Amino acid sequence: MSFLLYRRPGRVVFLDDDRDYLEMLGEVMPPDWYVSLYLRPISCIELLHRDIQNRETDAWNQQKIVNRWHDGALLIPEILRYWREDGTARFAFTQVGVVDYAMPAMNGLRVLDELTRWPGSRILLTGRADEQLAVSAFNRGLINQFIPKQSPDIRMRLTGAIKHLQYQPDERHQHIWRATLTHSQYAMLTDPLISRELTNLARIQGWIEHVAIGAPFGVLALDAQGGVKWLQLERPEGLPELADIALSTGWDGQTVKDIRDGKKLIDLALQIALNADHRPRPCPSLTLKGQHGILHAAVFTVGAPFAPGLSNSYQRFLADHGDRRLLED
Amino acid sequence: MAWLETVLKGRDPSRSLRFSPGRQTLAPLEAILHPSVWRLRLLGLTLVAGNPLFYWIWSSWLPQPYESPWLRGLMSALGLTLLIKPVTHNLSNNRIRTLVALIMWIELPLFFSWMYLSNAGGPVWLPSLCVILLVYYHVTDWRIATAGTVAGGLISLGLFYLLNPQQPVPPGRDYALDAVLVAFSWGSALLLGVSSANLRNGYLAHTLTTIAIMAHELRTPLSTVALIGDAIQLEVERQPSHPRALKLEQFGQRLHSLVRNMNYQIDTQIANAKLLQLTRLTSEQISAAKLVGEVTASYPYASSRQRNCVSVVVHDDFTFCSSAAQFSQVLSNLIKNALYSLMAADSLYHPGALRIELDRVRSYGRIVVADDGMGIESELLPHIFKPFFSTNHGTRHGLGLAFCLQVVLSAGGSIHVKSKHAVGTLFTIMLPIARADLEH
Repeated sequence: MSFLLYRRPGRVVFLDDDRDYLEMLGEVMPPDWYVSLYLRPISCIELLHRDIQNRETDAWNQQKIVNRWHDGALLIPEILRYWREDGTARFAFTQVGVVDYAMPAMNGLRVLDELTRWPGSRILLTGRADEQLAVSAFNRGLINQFIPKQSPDIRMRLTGAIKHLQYQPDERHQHIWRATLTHSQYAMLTDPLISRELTNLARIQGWIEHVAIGAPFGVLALDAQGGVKWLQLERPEGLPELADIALSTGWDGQTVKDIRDGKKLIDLALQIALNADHRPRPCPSLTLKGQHGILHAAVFTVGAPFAPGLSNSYQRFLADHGDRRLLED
Repeated sequence: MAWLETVLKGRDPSRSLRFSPGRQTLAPLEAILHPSVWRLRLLGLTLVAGNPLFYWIWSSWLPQPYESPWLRGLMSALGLTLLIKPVTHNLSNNRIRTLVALIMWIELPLFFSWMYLSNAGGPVWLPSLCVILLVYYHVTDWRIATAGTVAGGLISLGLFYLLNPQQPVPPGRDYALDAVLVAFSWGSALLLGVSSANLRNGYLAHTLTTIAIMAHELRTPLSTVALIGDAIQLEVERQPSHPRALKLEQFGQRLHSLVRNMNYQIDTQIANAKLLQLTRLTSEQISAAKLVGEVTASYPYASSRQRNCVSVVVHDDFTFCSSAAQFSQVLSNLIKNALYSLMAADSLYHPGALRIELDRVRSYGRIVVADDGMGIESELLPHIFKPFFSTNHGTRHGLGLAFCLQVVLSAGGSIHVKSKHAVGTLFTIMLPIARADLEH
């Protein structure tokens, strides 16, 4: 699995004509997912059609950040502003749709046929479809996965499949943020070993949203409480210059040596981006070993005034929208 | 039936696998439509009584140009064979079924064509021949009836010219008219035969579809039950210190186990209900021992005693060509039947009460599934491979063995059953060994 240049949580939609089944799905899905339960195909289709337009607007907003960067703006403050201004609206975009096949109004494949422009991932969940039906739907590009309802341990299979699809790259986002990276930076981020290390780091740190950028090189990440971290990435050849800057900003010999040895990094780029008035701070770094080189990485906290904060956090969003009742009859 | 007891008690496994066609019930060929003892008796009685009666009518009361007491006597005698017990009670025997089909062919298309030709048609034998064609298509499968009508007509024509009964042909006799009427009658009979066969298949297909849909409809509620089990277990994980946590966890596990078993039963019913839509394109190379091992390991036994009563003996493994999924279902059906039979016999499920043995016989692989259960009554044996025939209609729908037959036939094999009531049952599947395995 390659480290995604952009990742954020999104809604998981379930469409099934069986009320009990939907309600139980709502009960057993992980509590940190935004789940919507739909009984009627029409309502679900309407939601996902609205989703297409909203995603388009959001992608254009992200593209504008990169355009401004091309015009000389700094990426980090632009991204932070995007997060603050968006609030929590982007968390409501649907990432995965799980659709039942056998429904009285229209079958699941007809529903998905109506959603060919919707870019999210699709799972066909059914007790009726056979293998040929699933293969045919897969070949037509209508579904990403097929899960029979009789699967042993349906919950684990379903959550596993959804998690997997949540980690699939959104091509539009990848394309937008790829433009900020140099060829060698992109090669390092897509190195299988480094990619795995970064994915694990994101999971351990509890980041729910992140964006990888090239100038400065690193990952700006958001946690569920609305806090922001900056993962600074340095290649070994950049360490001497960083050490010299640390020396010039008054850090002691041991710190400078640690930076030169790749044991610590200073958040110089972050301070410049935030226009901070204090000297860059050192922080212990990790060494990420890839197949074709290594990267040094250190996590710095972005000050609360720059972060979206709890009021715009995913945690608050779930608290406000986490109710998994069926709202339609 | 000493052989059966020996086989079933497992004292001599080598004897248990001895192939004895004369005593076996071959999966029936539908040479006679709706075969039953009383239907056969009625046919026999009609032939025995009808031939002398019509001999008297056409020779004394309303004399026709040609009649033969010897021929009528022969026809009556042939009809008599349909009344004797070895025939009426052994319709399971393939030779008997062939014999009955042969008798019906002689009595109907051959005899009536002969009489028609010998009497130069006429107002008696032209309509008689037309009617008898219709009757023939209602007695046997339309494909057999078509072949039998052609063969009967040609042979009687040959015999007529060969033996030349010297009957005068009326002057100005127009055979074209007869030909049109016979063709019309034959065409109608063929049409009716094909339509009624299609109708039967249609009813069967609809019934099977209904079963499949019903089974499918249970999927969602069952899946909901599984999710309820998950929800209980998740609650336990959230509150592990709850005094009833262990019990709740067990309830959750039982729900999951129940759902697994019910899904297995549904899979079985759906697979069996697809017996008319079995794909013939699959030709996986299947190791018999591996398949038997997998099926016996994954079968949802009701208890550990049931599980332990199953013994698998591989004398000689072999590879055959079929669909692994479908053949797993075949074995599963046979195991299910055997366990049901053991339960009906109030078995203690002693080890080896259900035995599965594998070996080779020349270019064929053999799978034997034997049980010490209730067995099947001999009069029911001819019907057990038919769809919807069951030895217990109260609890079973009778699709399992029909499915087994279809799958085995599609693999180029055959399935046979030996059974004795209250002693046990033995199914033998013979399968052509895969070419690669034979060469190896």
